[in-house]
Amino acid sequence: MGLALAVLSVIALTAVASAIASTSVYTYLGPAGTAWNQTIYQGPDTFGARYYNRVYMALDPLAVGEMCLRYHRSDLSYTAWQCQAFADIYDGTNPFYATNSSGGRLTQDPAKAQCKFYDEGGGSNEGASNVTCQTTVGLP
Amino acid sequence: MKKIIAGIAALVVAGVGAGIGIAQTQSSSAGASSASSFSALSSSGVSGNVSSVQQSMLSDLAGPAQAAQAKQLFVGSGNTKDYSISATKDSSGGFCVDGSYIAACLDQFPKSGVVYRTAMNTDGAVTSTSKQLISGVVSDQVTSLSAQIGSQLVPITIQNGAFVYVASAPGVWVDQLVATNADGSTANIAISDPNRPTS
Repeated sequence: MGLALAVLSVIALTAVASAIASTSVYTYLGPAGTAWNQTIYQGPDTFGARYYNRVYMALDPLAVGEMCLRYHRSDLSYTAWQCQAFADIYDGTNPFYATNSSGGRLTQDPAKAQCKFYDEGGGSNEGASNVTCQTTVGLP
Repeated sequence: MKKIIAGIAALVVAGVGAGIGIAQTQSSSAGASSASSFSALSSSGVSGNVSSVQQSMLSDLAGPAQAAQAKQLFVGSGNTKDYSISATKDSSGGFCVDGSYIAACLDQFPKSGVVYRTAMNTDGAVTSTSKQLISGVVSDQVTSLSAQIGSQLVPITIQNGAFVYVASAPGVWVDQLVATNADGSTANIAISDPNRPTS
């Protein structure tokens, strides 16, 4: 499962990079993880000094949980977590943008992003959700 | 270009999800209310004076034509005076919302009728003076909203279906939102905020 996920992540990264290689804007998908019942997937710890402005979650119709994003800054401080709960909404938080007090994109550059996904689950066959952080470099 | 990139990424992520057996289909859930139950966007009495920042974000989320029809739902006062929320319909029958610490597109409301985001009242680093902030929108079914803090219920002002709550002081954390519906029923929405220190 882990190996398959890693391979798929590489394929995903390659596909995105190839699709946009002719532009000055590069989008990378970070490592994907899985949150199971009552667990939190949190990552990535380090992605380099890139700038992440959105996170994606897989569209799991059984998912009930919360998606979060924050930035770690170069002075070792960090922004607040921004979290959006979802329940029976399938695309309401996808992609998940962090915004500032005015509603613009909250960006911290250079910074490392951290995403968090909490899946409440509910039964033994529920609560498996895939999540990945995405970073975009070169946005104006 | 940004939307193209986002679209590509979404497709790729969807492909990854499918590869590991996660269902991708969209379906309705019992009790969820459609975006049509958000009448503020259809009201001629709601201002179209949307800030350029929110207009831009809504344009990215819903497209320029839809963003041009955006409405300013919430304009804060008092301890929410620096905050605002706008929204517009999208082309798929849902709507997109952007404002203070919230940006999302929705096809439908959850059963509770409340869509919200937890954050803090700062764009920068979290400090000892930072306060919890919760912003969101509610469907027409919700007639009032309160923040439960311990045993205390703090009313939250809803303007044209949108709200921004800011804690009265640092270290004050909402345990749950309590939404009251037109039929008298209530929905308790537990708030799990990772900004809240664990004891």
